[in-house]
Amino acid sequence: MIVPDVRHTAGISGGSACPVRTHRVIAAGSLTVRWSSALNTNPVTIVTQNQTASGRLAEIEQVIAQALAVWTGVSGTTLVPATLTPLTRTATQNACGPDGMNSICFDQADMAFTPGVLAFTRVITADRLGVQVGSSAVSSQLGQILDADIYFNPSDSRTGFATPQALAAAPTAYDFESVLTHELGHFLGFSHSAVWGAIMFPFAPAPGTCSGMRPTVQQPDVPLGDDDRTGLRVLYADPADAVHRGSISGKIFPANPLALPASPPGVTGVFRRAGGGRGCDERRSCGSNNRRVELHDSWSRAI
Amino acid sequence: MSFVQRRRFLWILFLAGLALLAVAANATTLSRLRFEELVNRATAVARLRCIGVENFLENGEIWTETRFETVELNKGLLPGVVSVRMLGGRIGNLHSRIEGVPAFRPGEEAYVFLWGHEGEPFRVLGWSQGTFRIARNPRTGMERVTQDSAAAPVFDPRTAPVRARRDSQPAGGDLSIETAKGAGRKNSLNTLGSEDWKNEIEHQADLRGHACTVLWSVV
Repeated sequence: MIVPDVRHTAGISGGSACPVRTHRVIAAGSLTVRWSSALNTNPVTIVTQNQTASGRLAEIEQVIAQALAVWTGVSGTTLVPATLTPLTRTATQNACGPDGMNSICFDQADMAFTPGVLAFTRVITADRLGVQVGSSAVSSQLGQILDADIYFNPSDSRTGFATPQALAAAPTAYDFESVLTHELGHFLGFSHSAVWGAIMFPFAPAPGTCSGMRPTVQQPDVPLGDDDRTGLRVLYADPADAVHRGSISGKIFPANPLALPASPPGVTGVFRRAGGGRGCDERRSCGSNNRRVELHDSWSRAI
Repeated sequence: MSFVQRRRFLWILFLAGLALLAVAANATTLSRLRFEELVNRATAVARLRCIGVENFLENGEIWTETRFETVELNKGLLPGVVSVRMLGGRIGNLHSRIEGVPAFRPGEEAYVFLWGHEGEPFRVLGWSQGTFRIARNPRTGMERVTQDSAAAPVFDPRTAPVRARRDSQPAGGDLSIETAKGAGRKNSLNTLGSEDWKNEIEHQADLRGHACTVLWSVV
């Protein structure tokens, strides 16, 4: 699996990708999310089945709540439904900004979008304690997420999204629930996954289709892959969890070793050096001496 | 090898080919920009050398402006020095990160598919999809082009127990390359018009044929 994006700062780790568990959320109500009801109209960003003004908003809100429940439904983590405060709306246009308030926006004019980019999540972290962004919490952990905003592409007439209820009638639209669930993964600290079928795989399902199965009350996390669940258990590890423990070990072939960056070390930090070099894990940093990547280098870590 | 054995072998090869095609077809269900789309929708395509990276704040948002020297122009019109602006970066102790946004280091070279409106700084089309990094083998001097979105190994957990896939079929790059090797090859590559570029894409495409062994054991 690709290690979620939880890293020591470069000053500590030498720029390695060693995972650290910094996103522990324990307190109830410690995570807030609001969404902007200022919906783009031309073109419509989110197609809904209900066409009344209030019905549209209710339908979208239901999907957002359901997508959040996908992640809080994973067992063995400290991220539980009670971690989230009730979802709120804002009518403010361009509500997504570095203000310390986690927001989801559908009408934000943003020059970062290009064709091929459906949605993105901008995550602001701090590499020092005592830092604050807008009204965010003051950072008490290195790498703490201080602000995370989700932007859906509003400007491309070829790109639209539809709620699960409306998807069948809008086969050219992308599944809003799948894309949002993916973006919420970034919101929670995930990087992309290389596992085909994981919700964090970087490419969205084709228009008119959804990722995996739809969540149910009995199985709220069913759209996720094992890789996603494992990642969440690393990110928001529950020390009391004795069920979801194990390890994975093996060898990894980079798709193209020459394409790996020479510096900073980045992902190469997770590879062991040939001839018994030490790997890296949560307890020790792995710096630039691990930069050399061997095709048959092994990698192991606890999950 | 007898005739029967040879025929059986050819059948196996044929079926294996069909299976591979099925995998490729599955990959097309993923949303991405095909190589032709990248070429067609790009305002400009060029081999660029990064000469400087600067982070700055605009309305409280952290942006990164990367300046490139144009080494080779494949589509559109570009000045000698090009500025590309992308969201995210670092200011002081704050890090703004957006997964998939390409970052460049001074001295690095890449084929970049640029997109933009007149009067605005360029962006990288499709982010990781529009970035093809060039790596030079210091021993042979050979260059290899790899699309950012195809640079990671891809695992398909449906193949038991867990198998690392050497290719990255769901990502845009390899499929694009495959397309380039197929019927549309001449058109798309002629649009780019670089002999080296063609060779490297073909070389990259050849990597697809490499089988990947079962590497993982789950404890």
